[in-house]
Amino acid sequence: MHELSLAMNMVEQIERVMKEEGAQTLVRVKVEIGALSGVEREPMAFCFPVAIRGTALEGAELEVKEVPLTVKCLDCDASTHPEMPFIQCQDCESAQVQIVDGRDFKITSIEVE
Amino acid sequence: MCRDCGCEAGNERIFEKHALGTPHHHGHDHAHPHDHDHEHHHHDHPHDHSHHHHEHGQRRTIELETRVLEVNDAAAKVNRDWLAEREVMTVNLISSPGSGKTFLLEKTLEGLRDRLGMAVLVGDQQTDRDAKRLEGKGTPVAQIETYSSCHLDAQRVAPYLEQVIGEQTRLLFIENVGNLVCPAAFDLGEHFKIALLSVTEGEDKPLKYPVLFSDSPVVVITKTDLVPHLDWDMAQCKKHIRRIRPDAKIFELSAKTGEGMGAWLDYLVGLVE
Repeated sequence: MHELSLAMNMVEQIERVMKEEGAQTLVRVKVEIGALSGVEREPMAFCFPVAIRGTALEGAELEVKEVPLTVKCLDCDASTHPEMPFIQCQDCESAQVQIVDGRDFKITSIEVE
Repeated sequence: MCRDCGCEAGNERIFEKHALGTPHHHGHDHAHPHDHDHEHHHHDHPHDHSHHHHEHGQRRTIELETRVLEVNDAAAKVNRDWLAEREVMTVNLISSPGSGKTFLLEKTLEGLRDRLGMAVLVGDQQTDRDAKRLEGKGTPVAQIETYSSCHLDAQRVAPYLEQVIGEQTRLLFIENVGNLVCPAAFDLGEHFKIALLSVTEGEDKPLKYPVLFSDSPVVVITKTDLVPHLDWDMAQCKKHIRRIRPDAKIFELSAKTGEGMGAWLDYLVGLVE
Protein backbone atom coordinates (compact mmCIF):
# COMPACT_ATOMS: atom_id res chain seq x y z
CA MET A 1 0.00 0.00 0.00
CA HIS A 2 2.51 2.62 -1.05
CA GLU A 3 -0.52 4.55 -2.28
CA LEU A 4 -0.82 6.06 1.20
CA SER A 5 2.72 7.45 0.99
CA LEU A 6 1.91 8.81 -2.45
CA ALA A 7 -1.34 10.37 -1.25
CA MET A 8 0.61 12.04 1.56
CA ASN A 9 3.12 13.36 -0.99
CA MET A 10 0.17 14.75 -2.93
CA VAL A 11 -1.07 16.56 0.16
CA GLU A 12 2.29 18.30 0.57
CA GLN A 13 2.53 19.21 -3.08
CA ILE A 14 -1.02 20.53 -3.30
CA GLU A 15 -0.90 22.41 -0.01
CA ARG A 16 2.17 24.23 -1.32
CA VAL A 17 0.41 25.21 -4.55
CA MET A 18 -2.73 26.29 -2.67
CA LYS A 19 -0.65 28.52 -0.41
CA GLU A 20 1.15 30.06 -3.38
CA GLU A 21 -2.16 30.64 -5.13
CA GLY A 22 -3.97 31.90 -2.05
CA ALA A 23 -6.62 29.21 -2.41
CA GLN A 24 -8.74 28.31 0.62
CA THR A 25 -10.50 25.18 -0.50
CA LEU A 26 -9.61 22.30 -2.76
CA VAL A 27 -12.62 21.15 -4.71
CA ARG A 28 -11.11 18.55 -6.95
CA VAL A 29 -7.76 17.06 -7.87
CA LYS A 30 -7.24 15.33 -11.19
CA VAL A 31 -4.57 12.69 -11.43
CA GLU A 32 -3.28 10.39 -14.12
CA ILE A 33 -2.21 6.87 -13.26
CA GLY A 34 0.03 5.19 -15.81
CA ALA A 35 -0.46 1.48 -16.45
CA LEU A 36 3.16 0.85 -15.45
CA SER A 37 3.34 3.41 -12.64
CA GLY A 38 2.88 0.80 -9.96
CA VAL A 39 -0.10 2.75 -8.62
CA GLU A 40 -3.56 1.26 -8.51
CA ARG A 41 -6.82 3.16 -8.73
CA GLU A 42 -8.65 1.43 -5.89
CA PRO A 43 -6.03 1.69 -3.14
CA MET A 44 -5.47 5.31 -4.17
CA ALA A 45 -9.20 6.04 -3.92
CA PHE A 46 -9.12 4.43 -0.49
CA CYS A 47 -6.02 6.27 0.76
CA PHE A 48 -6.69 9.75 -0.58
CA PRO A 49 -9.59 10.62 1.76
CA VAL A 50 -7.55 9.34 4.71
CA ALA A 51 -4.48 11.37 3.72
CA ILE A 52 -6.40 14.62 3.29
CA ARG A 53 -8.32 14.45 6.53
CA GLY A 54 -7.44 17.42 8.71
CA THR A 55 -5.48 19.13 5.92
CA ALA A 56 -6.29 22.07 3.63
CA LEU A 57 -7.39 19.47 1.09
CA GLU A 58 -10.11 18.01 3.28
CA GLY A 59 -13.30 17.25 1.40
CA ALA A 60 -11.72 17.31 -2.05
CA GLU A 61 -12.77 14.94 -4.76
CA LEU A 62 -10.20 12.74 -6.48
CA GLU A 63 -10.66 12.25 -10.19
CA VAL A 64 -8.54 9.48 -11.67
CA LYS A 65 -7.69 9.03 -15.31
CA GLU A 66 -5.93 5.82 -16.22
CA VAL A 67 -3.25 6.25 -18.86
CA PRO A 68 -2.50 3.22 -21.00
CA LEU A 69 1.01 2.09 -21.74
CA THR A 70 2.37 3.53 -25.00
CA VAL A 71 5.35 1.92 -26.68
CA LYS A 72 7.28 2.85 -29.76
CA CYS A 73 8.42 -0.15 -31.77
CA LEU A 74 12.12 -0.20 -32.61
CA ASP A 75 11.45 -2.63 -35.48
CA CYS A 76 8.40 -1.20 -37.29
CA ASP A 77 8.32 2.30 -35.75
CA ALA A 78 4.63 2.07 -34.79
CA SER A 79 3.38 3.66 -31.57
CA THR A 80 0.87 1.32 -29.95
CA HIS A 81 -0.82 0.55 -26.64
CA PRO A 82 0.17 -2.98 -25.61
CA GLU A 83 -2.24 -5.08 -23.63
CA MET A 84 -0.71 -5.52 -20.20
CA PRO A 85 1.28 -7.36 -19.11
CA PHE A 86 2.86 -8.03 -22.49
CA ILE A 87 5.13 -5.16 -23.30
CA GLN A 88 5.35 -5.53 -27.05
CA CYS A 89 4.32 -3.83 -30.27
CA GLN A 90 0.65 -4.38 -31.00
CA ASP A 91 1.29 -4.21 -34.73
CA CYS A 92 4.25 -6.53 -35.33
CA GLU A 93 4.51 -8.15 -31.86
CA SER A 94 8.15 -7.22 -31.55
CA ALA A 95 9.36 -6.99 -27.97
CA GLN A 96 12.00 -4.46 -29.00
CA VAL A 97 10.04 -1.45 -27.88
CA GLN A 98 10.67 1.77 -26.05
CA ILE A 99 8.19 2.79 -23.37
CA VAL A 100 7.12 6.35 -24.16
CA ASP A 101 4.15 6.79 -21.81
CA GLY A 102 2.39 5.04 -18.95
CA ARG A 103 5.08 5.02 -16.26
CA ASP A 104 4.03 8.16 -14.42
CA PHE A 105 1.65 9.03 -11.64
CA LYS A 106 0.86 12.73 -12.07
CA ILE A 107 -1.31 15.45 -10.62
CA THR A 108 -2.61 17.05 -13.81
CA SER A 109 -4.67 19.87 -12.29
CA ILE A 110 -6.44 21.05 -9.18
CA GLU A 111 -9.67 22.94 -8.87
CA VAL A 112 -9.69 25.42 -6.00
CA GLU A 113 -11.76 28.15 -4.46
CA MET B 1 -17.36 19.29 7.85
CA CYS B 2 -18.86 18.92 4.42
CA ARG B 3 -17.32 21.38 2.00
CA ASP B 4 -20.42 21.69 -0.13
CA CYS B 5 -23.12 22.31 2.39
CA GLY B 6 -21.41 22.74 5.76
CA CYS B 7 -23.17 19.86 7.45
CA GLU B 8 -21.30 17.71 9.95
CA ALA B 9 -23.35 14.64 9.22
CA GLY B 10 -22.49 14.32 5.59
CA ASN B 11 -18.78 14.14 6.23
CA GLU B 12 -17.96 10.46 6.23
CA ARG B 13 -20.19 9.60 3.38
CA ILE B 14 -18.90 12.37 1.21
CA PHE B 15 -15.33 11.22 1.69
CA GLU B 16 -16.18 7.81 0.42
CA LYS B 17 -18.47 8.79 -2.39
CA HIS B 18 -16.23 11.55 -3.65
CA ALA B 19 -13.25 9.26 -3.61
CA LEU B 20 -15.05 6.77 -5.76
CA GLY B 21 -16.05 9.48 -8.17
CA THR B 22 -19.77 9.09 -7.71
CA PRO B 23 -22.17 11.91 -7.07
CA HIS B 24 -23.05 12.45 -3.45
CA HIS B 25 -26.56 12.83 -2.22
CA HIS B 26 -27.39 14.45 1.01
CA GLY B 27 -30.23 12.59 2.54
CA HIS B 28 -30.95 15.15 5.23
CA ASP B 29 -33.66 17.64 4.64
CA HIS B 30 -32.67 20.67 6.63
CA ALA B 31 -32.31 23.93 4.84
CA HIS B 32 -28.82 25.32 4.37
CA PRO B 33 -28.57 29.05 4.71
CA HIS B 34 -25.86 29.60 2.18
CA ASP B 35 -25.56 30.43 -1.41
CA HIS B 36 -24.64 27.74 -3.91
CA ASP B 37 -23.69 30.09 -6.68
CA HIS B 38 -20.56 28.16 -7.54
CA GLU B 39 -20.69 25.42 -10.11
CA HIS B 40 -21.96 22.10 -8.79
CA HIS B 41 -21.31 18.79 -10.40
CA HIS B 42 -23.19 16.93 -7.73
CA HIS B 43 -26.87 17.53 -7.88
CA ASP B 44 -29.91 16.37 -5.98
CA HIS B 45 -29.23 18.71 -3.10
CA PRO B 46 -32.52 19.16 -1.33
CA HIS B 47 -31.23 22.48 -0.07
CA ASP B 48 -32.84 25.77 0.22
CA HIS B 49 -30.74 28.10 -1.90
CA SER B 50 -32.78 31.18 -1.35
CA HIS B 51 -31.44 32.44 1.96
CA HIS B 52 -28.78 35.02 2.63
CA HIS B 53 -25.68 35.19 0.50
CA HIS B 54 -22.11 34.96 1.61
CA GLU B 55 -18.97 34.97 -0.44
CA HIS B 56 -17.39 31.85 -1.80
CA GLY B 57 -14.02 32.23 -3.45
CA GLN B 58 -13.93 32.10 -7.20
CA ARG B 59 -13.61 28.53 -8.37
CA ARG B 60 -10.68 28.03 -10.72
CA THR B 61 -8.50 25.32 -12.13
CA ILE B 62 -4.74 25.29 -11.75
CA GLU B 63 -2.87 23.16 -14.27
CA LEU B 64 0.02 21.32 -12.67
CA GLU B 65 1.34 18.24 -14.52
CA THR B 66 3.34 17.44 -11.40
CA ARG B 67 4.78 13.99 -10.89
CA VAL B 68 3.76 12.84 -7.43
CA LEU B 69 7.13 11.17 -6.98
CA GLU B 70 9.11 14.30 -7.81
CA VAL B 71 10.14 14.77 -4.19
CA ASN B 72 11.42 11.20 -4.03
CA ASP B 73 13.08 11.50 -7.41
CA ALA B 74 14.86 14.71 -6.44
CA ALA B 75 16.19 12.95 -3.33
CA ALA B 76 17.17 9.96 -5.49
CA LYS B 77 19.18 12.26 -7.73
CA VAL B 78 21.04 13.65 -4.72
CA ASN B 79 21.85 10.07 -3.64
CA ARG B 80 22.89 9.12 -7.16
CA ASP B 81 25.20 12.12 -7.50
CA TRP B 82 26.70 11.45 -4.07
CA LEU B 83 27.37 7.83 -5.01
CA ALA B 84 28.75 8.77 -8.42
CA GLU B 85 31.21 11.19 -6.82
CA ARG B 86 32.55 8.32 -4.77
CA GLU B 87 32.42 5.91 -7.72
CA VAL B 88 30.12 3.50 -5.94
CA MET B 89 28.04 1.22 -8.18
CA THR B 90 24.65 0.70 -6.53
CA VAL B 91 22.07 -2.00 -7.11
CA ASN B 92 18.58 -2.16 -5.61
CA LEU B 93 17.53 -5.76 -4.91
CA ILE B 94 13.79 -6.32 -5.03
CA SER B 95 11.79 -9.52 -4.62
CA SER B 96 9.00 -11.20 -2.72
CA PRO B 97 9.63 -11.94 0.94
CA GLY B 98 11.47 -15.25 1.23
CA SER B 99 12.98 -15.39 -2.24
CA GLY B 100 16.46 -15.52 -0.78
CA LYS B 101 17.78 -11.96 -0.99
CA THR B 102 19.57 -12.04 2.34
CA PHE B 103 21.05 -15.50 1.85
CA LEU B 104 22.29 -14.57 -1.62
CA LEU B 105 23.87 -11.45 -0.12
CA GLU B 106 25.53 -13.47 2.65
CA LYS B 107 27.13 -15.73 0.07
CA THR B 108 27.97 -12.80 -2.19
CA LEU B 109 29.76 -10.93 0.61
CA GLU B 110 31.70 -14.08 1.48
CA GLY B 111 32.56 -14.73 -2.16
CA LEU B 112 33.70 -11.20 -2.96
CA ARG B 113 35.26 -10.01 0.28
CA ASP B 114 38.79 -10.34 -1.07
CA ARG B 115 37.97 -8.95 -4.49
CA LEU B 116 35.84 -5.89 -3.88
CA GLY B 117 34.95 -3.22 -1.32
CA MET B 118 31.22 -3.55 -0.67
CA ALA B 119 28.51 -2.10 1.56
CA VAL B 120 24.94 -3.15 2.32
CA LEU B 121 21.78 -1.30 3.30
CA VAL B 122 18.95 -3.59 4.22
CA GLY B 123 15.33 -2.53 4.55
CA ASP B 124 12.72 -4.34 6.59
CA GLN B 125 9.58 -3.24 8.35
CA GLN B 126 11.03 -4.22 11.70
CA THR B 127 14.02 -5.87 13.39
CA ASP B 128 17.69 -5.88 12.49
CA ARG B 129 17.74 -9.65 11.95
CA ASP B 130 18.90 -9.36 8.34
CA ALA B 131 21.66 -6.92 9.20
CA LYS B 132 22.79 -9.31 11.96
CA ARG B 133 22.98 -12.14 9.42
CA LEU B 134 25.11 -10.00 7.12
CA GLU B 135 27.48 -8.66 9.77
CA GLY B 136 30.89 -10.15 10.43
CA LYS B 137 31.72 -10.63 6.77
CA GLY B 138 34.05 -7.67 6.52
CA THR B 139 31.42 -5.45 4.95
CA PRO B 140 29.68 -2.44 6.52
CA VAL B 141 25.96 -3.14 6.92
CA ALA B 142 23.15 -0.86 8.10
CA GLN B 143 19.57 -1.84 8.75
CA ILE B 144 16.79 0.55 7.80
CA GLU B 145 13.56 -0.18 9.60
CA THR B 146 10.65 1.15 7.59
CA TYR B 147 7.95 0.40 10.21
CA SER B 148 4.57 0.97 8.62
CA SER B 149 6.02 1.48 5.16
CA CYS B 150 6.21 -1.31 2.61
CA HIS B 151 9.16 0.07 0.68
CA LEU B 152 12.31 2.13 0.94
CA ASP B 153 12.31 5.63 -0.47
CA ALA B 154 15.21 7.87 -1.41
CA GLN B 155 14.92 10.20 1.56
CA ARG B 156 14.92 7.31 4.01
CA VAL B 157 18.02 5.80 2.42
CA ALA B 158 20.03 9.06 2.27
CA PRO B 159 21.23 9.35 5.89
CA TYR B 160 22.49 5.75 5.88
CA LEU B 161 24.77 6.15 2.87
CA GLU B 162 27.50 7.90 4.87
CA GLN B 163 27.32 5.20 7.52
CA VAL B 164 28.32 2.37 5.22
CA ILE B 165 30.23 3.93 2.32
CA GLY B 166 33.95 4.31 2.84
CA GLU B 167 37.03 5.06 0.73
CA GLN B 168 37.25 1.47 -0.48
CA THR B 169 33.57 0.93 -1.27
CA ARG B 170 32.92 0.16 -4.92
CA LEU B 171 29.63 -1.70 -4.78
CA LEU B 172 26.56 -0.94 -2.66
CA PHE B 173 23.72 -3.41 -2.33
CA ILE B 174 20.39 -2.05 -1.18
CA GLU B 175 18.22 -4.95 -0.10
CA ASN B 176 14.71 -3.55 -0.34
CA VAL B 177 11.71 -4.56 1.74
CA GLY B 178 10.39 -7.92 0.55
CA ASN B 179 7.58 -6.85 -1.75
CA LEU B 180 7.19 -7.10 -5.52
CA VAL B 181 4.86 -4.14 -5.88
CA CYS B 182 5.61 -1.01 -3.89
CA PRO B 183 9.44 -0.83 -3.95
CA ALA B 184 9.35 -0.85 -7.75
CA ALA B 185 7.86 2.64 -7.82
CA PHE B 186 10.60 4.33 -5.77
CA ASP B 187 13.95 5.32 -7.24
CA LEU B 188 16.53 5.27 -4.45
CA GLY B 189 19.39 6.64 -6.52
CA GLU B 190 20.62 3.20 -7.55
CA HIS B 191 22.20 2.53 -10.94
CA PHE B 192 19.63 -0.16 -11.62
CA LYS B 193 17.24 -2.63 -10.05
CA ILE B 194 17.82 -6.36 -9.79
CA ALA B 195 14.73 -8.53 -9.41
CA LEU B 196 15.01 -11.87 -7.63
CA LEU B 197 12.64 -14.72 -8.30
CA SER B 198 12.87 -18.04 -6.49
CA VAL B 199 11.85 -21.25 -8.23
CA THR B 200 9.19 -21.93 -5.60
CA GLU B 201 7.25 -18.84 -6.71
CA GLY B 202 6.06 -19.88 -10.14
CA GLU B 203 7.27 -19.12 -13.64
CA ASP B 204 4.64 -16.48 -14.29
CA LYS B 205 5.71 -13.95 -11.63
CA PRO B 206 7.16 -11.59 -14.26
CA LEU B 207 3.79 -11.43 -16.02
CA LYS B 208 1.96 -10.81 -12.76
CA TYR B 209 4.34 -8.04 -11.66
CA PRO B 210 5.36 -6.27 -14.85
CA VAL B 211 6.09 -2.95 -13.14
CA LEU B 212 9.13 -4.40 -11.39
CA PHE B 213 10.27 -6.77 -14.12
CA SER B 214 10.02 -4.16 -16.86
CA ASP B 215 12.34 -1.94 -14.83
CA SER B 216 14.90 -4.62 -13.88
CA PRO B 217 17.64 -5.21 -16.45
CA VAL B 218 18.94 -8.08 -14.31
CA VAL B 219 16.86 -10.96 -12.97
CA VAL B 220 18.27 -13.59 -10.61
CA ILE B 221 16.45 -16.91 -10.43
CA THR B 222 17.28 -18.28 -6.97
CA LYS B 223 17.05 -21.62 -5.13
CA THR B 224 17.72 -23.66 -8.29
CA ASP B 225 18.77 -26.57 -6.05
CA LEU B 226 15.03 -27.08 -5.40
CA VAL B 227 14.17 -27.54 -9.08
CA PRO B 228 14.24 -31.37 -8.92
CA HIS B 229 11.45 -31.25 -6.32
CA LEU B 230 9.22 -28.89 -8.29
CA ASP B 231 7.38 -28.70 -11.59
CA TRP B 232 9.50 -25.73 -12.54
CA ASP B 233 9.89 -24.90 -16.20
CA MET B 234 13.04 -22.79 -16.52
CA ALA B 235 12.58 -22.11 -20.24
CA GLN B 236 9.04 -20.89 -19.63
CA CYS B 237 10.15 -18.60 -16.83
CA LYS B 238 12.87 -17.04 -18.98
CA LYS B 239 10.37 -16.58 -21.77
CA HIS B 240 8.05 -14.73 -19.39
CA ILE B 241 10.89 -12.50 -18.19
CA ARG B 242 11.85 -11.65 -21.77
CA ARG B 243 8.28 -10.86 -22.75
CA ILE B 244 8.37 -8.11 -20.14
CA ARG B 245 12.02 -7.12 -20.56
CA PRO B 246 13.61 -8.53 -23.75
CA ASP B 247 17.15 -7.47 -22.85
CA ALA B 248 17.06 -8.85 -19.28
CA LYS B 249 20.27 -10.51 -18.15
CA ILE B 250 19.22 -13.66 -16.31
CA PHE B 251 21.22 -15.55 -13.68
CA GLU B 252 20.22 -18.97 -12.39
CA LEU B 253 21.82 -19.89 -9.12
CA SER B 254 21.66 -21.63 -5.79
CA ALA B 255 23.34 -19.71 -3.00
CA LYS B 256 23.02 -22.89 -0.95
CA THR B 257 24.98 -25.26 -3.22
CA GLY B 258 27.02 -22.57 -4.98
CA GLU B 259 25.73 -23.62 -8.40
CA GLY B 260 25.74 -20.58 -10.70
CA MET B 261 27.35 -18.34 -8.06
CA GLY B 262 30.61 -17.98 -10.02
CA ALA B 263 28.95 -16.23 -12.94
CA TRP B 264 27.02 -13.94 -10.57
CA LEU B 265 30.11 -12.95 -8.61
CA ASP B 266 32.16 -12.34 -11.77
CA TYR B 267 29.34 -10.22 -13.13
CA LEU B 268 29.32 -8.04 -10.01
CA VAL B 269 33.09 -7.58 -10.13
CA GLY B 270 32.71 -6.68 -13.81
CA LEU B 271 30.24 -3.92 -12.91
CA VAL B 272 32.89 -1.92 -11.11
CA GLU B 273 35.91 -2.61 -13.29
